[in-house]
Amino acid sequence: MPEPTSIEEREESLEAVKARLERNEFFSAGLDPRFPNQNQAKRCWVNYVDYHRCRKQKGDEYEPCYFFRKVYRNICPHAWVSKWDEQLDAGTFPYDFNKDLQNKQGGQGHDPHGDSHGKH
Amino acid sequence: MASWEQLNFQNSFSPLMEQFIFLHDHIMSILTLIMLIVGYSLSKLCLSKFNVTKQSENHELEILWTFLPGVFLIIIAFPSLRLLYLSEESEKSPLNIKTMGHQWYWSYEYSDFKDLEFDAFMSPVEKTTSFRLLETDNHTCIPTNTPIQMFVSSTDVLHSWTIPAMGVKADSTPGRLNIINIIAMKPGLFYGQCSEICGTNHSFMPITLDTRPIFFFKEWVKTMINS
Repeated sequence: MPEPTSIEEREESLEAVKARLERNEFFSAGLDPRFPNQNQAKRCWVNYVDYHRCRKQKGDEYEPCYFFRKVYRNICPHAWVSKWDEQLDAGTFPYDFNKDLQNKQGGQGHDPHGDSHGKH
Repeated sequence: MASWEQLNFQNSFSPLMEQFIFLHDHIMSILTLIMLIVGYSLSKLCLSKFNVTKQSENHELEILWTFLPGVFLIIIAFPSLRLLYLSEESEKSPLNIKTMGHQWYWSYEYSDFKDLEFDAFMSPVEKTTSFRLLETDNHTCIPTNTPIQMFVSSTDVLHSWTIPAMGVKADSTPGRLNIINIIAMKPGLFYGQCSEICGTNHSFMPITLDTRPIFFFKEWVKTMINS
């Protein structure tokens, strides 16, 4: 059976949720030691950005990206996520994913601690 | 829930609230002791017909009544600090629930169950068969004996989400996502009210928490996702 790729295909069906309930399987984002504060807003934002950055860099089929999605969907209020999704669609989201990509590509060519320097 | 002429806390239904009551009793016993000693000494001095000559220029007494309040303050401060940190201690919970304050109702999101979401408005006073101004049309259900993390935020102005019987209260602030930890020890219905002045209908956005054993909680989830 081919691996599901699109987000729609990954969505759990109602029956799957009920079956999971029967098995006492719950998903919660748990604790993140990077955010030990009572205010978890930053954690929500970081996971949302990480998911989209991961997909930009690794592609839609890269499975580990979906962990970030699971986490941000678990902790972010729905209203926040819808607002950010709208901003992403309109191109007004306050984070430049392309800059990340450029840095990554540029960084590989000029890495001072890379293997190419070690061989000289 | 609170009732008329109730001076003390509500009965505790979470380990945290039990600790709050212990701390309250601990501090109250010290306060009573101080009140009695100081009250007795004052009345004795005031009612005495004689001058107590040993009281003036008494260095030992001065040292004692400077030092003793410090000791009492330490005896109060340490359990208080311990509880302050304990109340914000997060533990891994199998279930996260989000609640958003609105003018003037609460909405709840159980993201783990197919985006189970609902609003909880106050039941109309003339229709409710339960407690006036405390009952909501949809109850927030959580399993008993399970650590729950509640994420509290707001869409408009400041609100505050609280269940006094569980010893929890968190400000619901736009742009902030506050967490509170709840462990319900017994099944039941618990009531709370918005605790931050948020506008005209601030008094009419109650919170109803329905705690059930895990089996019945799962049944509730199934009913909710089916509807």
